[in-house]
Amino acid sequence: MILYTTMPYELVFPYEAEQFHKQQVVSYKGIPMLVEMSGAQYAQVVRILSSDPQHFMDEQICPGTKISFANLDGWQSLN
Amino acid sequence: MNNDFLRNNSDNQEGQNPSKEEKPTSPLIEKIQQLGQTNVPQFSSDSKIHCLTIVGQIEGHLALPPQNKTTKYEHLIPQLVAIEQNSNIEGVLIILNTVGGDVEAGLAISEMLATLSKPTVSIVLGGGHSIGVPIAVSCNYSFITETATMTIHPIRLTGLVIGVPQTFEYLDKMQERVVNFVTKHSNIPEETFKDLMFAKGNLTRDIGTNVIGEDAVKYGLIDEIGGIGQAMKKLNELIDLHKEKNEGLIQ
Repeated sequence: MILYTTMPYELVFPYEAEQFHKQQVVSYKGIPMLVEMSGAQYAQVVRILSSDPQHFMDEQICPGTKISFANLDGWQSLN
Repeated sequence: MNNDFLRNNSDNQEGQNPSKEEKPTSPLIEKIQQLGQTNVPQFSSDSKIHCLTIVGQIEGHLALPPQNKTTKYEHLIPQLVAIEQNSNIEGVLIILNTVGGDVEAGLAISEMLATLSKPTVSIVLGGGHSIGVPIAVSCNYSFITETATMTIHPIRLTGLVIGVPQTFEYLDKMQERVVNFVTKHSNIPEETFKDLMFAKGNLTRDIGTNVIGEDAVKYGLIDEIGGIGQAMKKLNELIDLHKEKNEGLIQ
């Protein structure tokens, strides 16, 4: 399909709202990170947003690890 | 923070995990799945050099869905403020592999980096296209790897067209801001930069130029060809210079 329009893509095909809720920015042990919900209790680390290279060396929070909601600092969303 | 880190290490050595995040079937298999390797090097102390990676699209006013890899300025700017305020941090390394994105968000990040009082060094790896160009030149010293590219092109429109002359004037002013920033923070003359920006025949059916590694240095856009080793060496040199200057001021 070719669509000829001056309208921006986002206006023609709006993003689904639920997509945005899948990923959230949280603070875990004081380290800001992007997590994806997996089930009611756990979140999977997607990306570490810290600028400290040492945080990337921590095995407990490396991308792919599941972290418990209970251990989050107030489960704060920075978005 | 440091104590926390050390404690976590000792926990791992004992083979116990008191927080019981999850019970992995085999910790070794889990690690291989996550990182593709079984051993991650550990450092004993906190780093005095912080690193910011600017990857994917530079996200501005419009939030992109999660399948897009983006760098959000609302994440980067508070980090830069924290870096500026934290006396333990002595320098910042910026790693760029971006396709570009929002002009105002990109310029905001560039201005923050340019006005940071601590030494900054940038490396363009892969690509530093479009609005990635001002970010790369905003640092005190910039590197580009031999194979990395930077696309220089005029600002394009993705918003609504209000009226043709007004929109054109608005875009022209916005473009001036980018050109001024780049020419002010790098050795490229305005003439050369504009020539590259409006060059025909380099990009298929579009105007602009794709500048590769050595050419970026030749035009004066980037300071030197190099990778992580050279960048860290330069950053350490700049940190030493910065320290000397500060000590001199006290005396």
